[in-house]
Amino acid sequence: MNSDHILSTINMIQKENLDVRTVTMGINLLDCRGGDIDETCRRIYDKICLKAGNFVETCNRISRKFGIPVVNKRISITPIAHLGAGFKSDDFVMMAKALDKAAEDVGIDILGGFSAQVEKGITPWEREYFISLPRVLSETRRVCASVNVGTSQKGINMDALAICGKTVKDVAEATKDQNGFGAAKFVVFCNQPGDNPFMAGAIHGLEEADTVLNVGVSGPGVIARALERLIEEEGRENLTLDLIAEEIKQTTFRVTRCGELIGREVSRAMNIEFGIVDLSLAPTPTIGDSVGEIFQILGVDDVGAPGSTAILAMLNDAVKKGGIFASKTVGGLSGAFIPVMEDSVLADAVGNGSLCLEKLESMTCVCSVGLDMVAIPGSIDADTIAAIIADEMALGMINHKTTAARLIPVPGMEAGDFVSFGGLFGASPVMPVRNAGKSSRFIGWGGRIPAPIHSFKN
Amino acid sequence: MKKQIVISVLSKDKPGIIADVANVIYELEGDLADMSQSVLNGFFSMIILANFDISISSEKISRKLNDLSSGPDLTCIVRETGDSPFQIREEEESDVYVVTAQGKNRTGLVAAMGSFCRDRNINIIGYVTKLSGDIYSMMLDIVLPEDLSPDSVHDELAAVAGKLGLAIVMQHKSLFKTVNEISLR
Repeated sequence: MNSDHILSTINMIQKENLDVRTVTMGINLLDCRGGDIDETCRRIYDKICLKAGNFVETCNRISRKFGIPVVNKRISITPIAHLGAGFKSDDFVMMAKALDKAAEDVGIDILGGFSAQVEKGITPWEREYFISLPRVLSETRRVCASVNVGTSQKGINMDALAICGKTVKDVAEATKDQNGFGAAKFVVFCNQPGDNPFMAGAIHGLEEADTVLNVGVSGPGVIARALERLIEEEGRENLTLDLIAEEIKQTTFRVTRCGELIGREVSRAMNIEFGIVDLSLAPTPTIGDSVGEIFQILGVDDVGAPGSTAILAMLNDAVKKGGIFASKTVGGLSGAFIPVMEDSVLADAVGNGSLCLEKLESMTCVCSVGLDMVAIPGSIDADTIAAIIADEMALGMINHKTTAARLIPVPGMEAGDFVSFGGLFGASPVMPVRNAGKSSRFIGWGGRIPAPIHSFKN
Repeated sequence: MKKQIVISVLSKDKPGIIADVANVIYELEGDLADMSQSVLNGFFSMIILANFDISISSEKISRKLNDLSSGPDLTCIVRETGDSPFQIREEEESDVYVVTAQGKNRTGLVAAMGSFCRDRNINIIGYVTKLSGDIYSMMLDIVLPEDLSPDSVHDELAAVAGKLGLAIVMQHKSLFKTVNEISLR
């Protein structure tokens, strides 16, 4: 073993914050349906405790063995609307509380999959599901919800999307004492993957095995430090973008390998199938763990300045190229995230006016996932929110990629006010929304945006 | 009938040492089974395991090696291992941890780490050091005895790290192979 390899790996862990961002256990709950809601809730609780009882302890042990922090241990479940066929909204609230209790008792901080897949049509119980969401997201702590309203194959369900716009408002209002924090736990997707380990949009897809482990790799800090080191060692004048992309690839390879190693070891220790490694660079509000910082290192003074989209495209592509070869199976979202509130540099760019909603939207064309953790004025109407989501969904549908929207209309706040949720959910100024109130006639149509022409491949 | 001989060679580094030593073994019809060689700051060191016919004495091998044209800079030690002839042993990767200790350079650091391992019956199977500026790095491949848990060693290393003013981490060796090599098993 080359001593330089050992020291460089140690440096990545100790000085460049290399970690494994999340190990997420996906659990199928379809076999938990009982004769009534009480029995169903009991079965949900029991299955999660049975499958994940020693999950956190196992992750911690493996983390110590390799000296790599496993930052988050989480659970995703089968989209709850499948389990709740025929249930009323109160029943959905009860299931959410059973999930919350199970999550607490097995020691995890977030559980995803309180979800529905309504890209083509909505069942009566899925409407009940939507009704339950303001209570679910205000009365539980750990449960996250997501809804898939569109796919490249089926188009976009605009009826469901309109409900989503209203739900975002209602959830924010139900949690107004926390500045609308509930909306930070609700994501609307197009082409939602069933094996994404990152919250709040993680679900355990119906196509998955009974129990699966998925891993989310380290954050952007490692890439940022690697680029800084490269520039210092080689000198700016000796570097070109292709050399920089190569450095990102090689760093991502190492980062992904760590995720692959931890995933394999945890899955072996728990005798659970290892699903995928998600290559996404997920920033946190911690200084030095920012995707926005990579933009600045690569040459734009503020995120949102011209060139930002090109930088993000190159970063996203290099991350995938480096990661694909490092893992047996790559999946989930696998790209760079740009969640405004969770990334201090992006939040600063909103504050100084260099990053606007429209530029953010264009950047989501070339990365995963979408308009993520964007605080908007609480006065923005539901139809405008729905229309913003519709634009984002259209990008995903036409471009055969996952897109998502996690918008937080902060009650009582206007553009420029500052909102903070603390911890991993971060803080940012409220982003202005231009042309609000001008899209109601469009949202009012309802129905579906038909499947795009390139979906007809059969 | 064969016997196993271990040969240690120390010399100022120059081209031809391996050829000279290997030819002596060949002329004595020895079978060179395994060897490890490195150069440290201009000094060549090599350890060889070879199987010889039982009639060849270690004194004879030693004489031949010391007659080498390499001159007075070369020192050889030849010993019979007493073991049966060499058989390749699979490296027990699953048991090997790497301890990395880094800190300001001063005397006594290797002795301290060595003593730590000796006192706990921890076997050091590889030890590499590197001086970069005034930062001294030590990388030890270690195998823990069966009655010692990795967790307890972690805790004890943390205490030693504080006492010596070093940053010490212990990680399973497979991490470094996984991160730095293409193959993944």
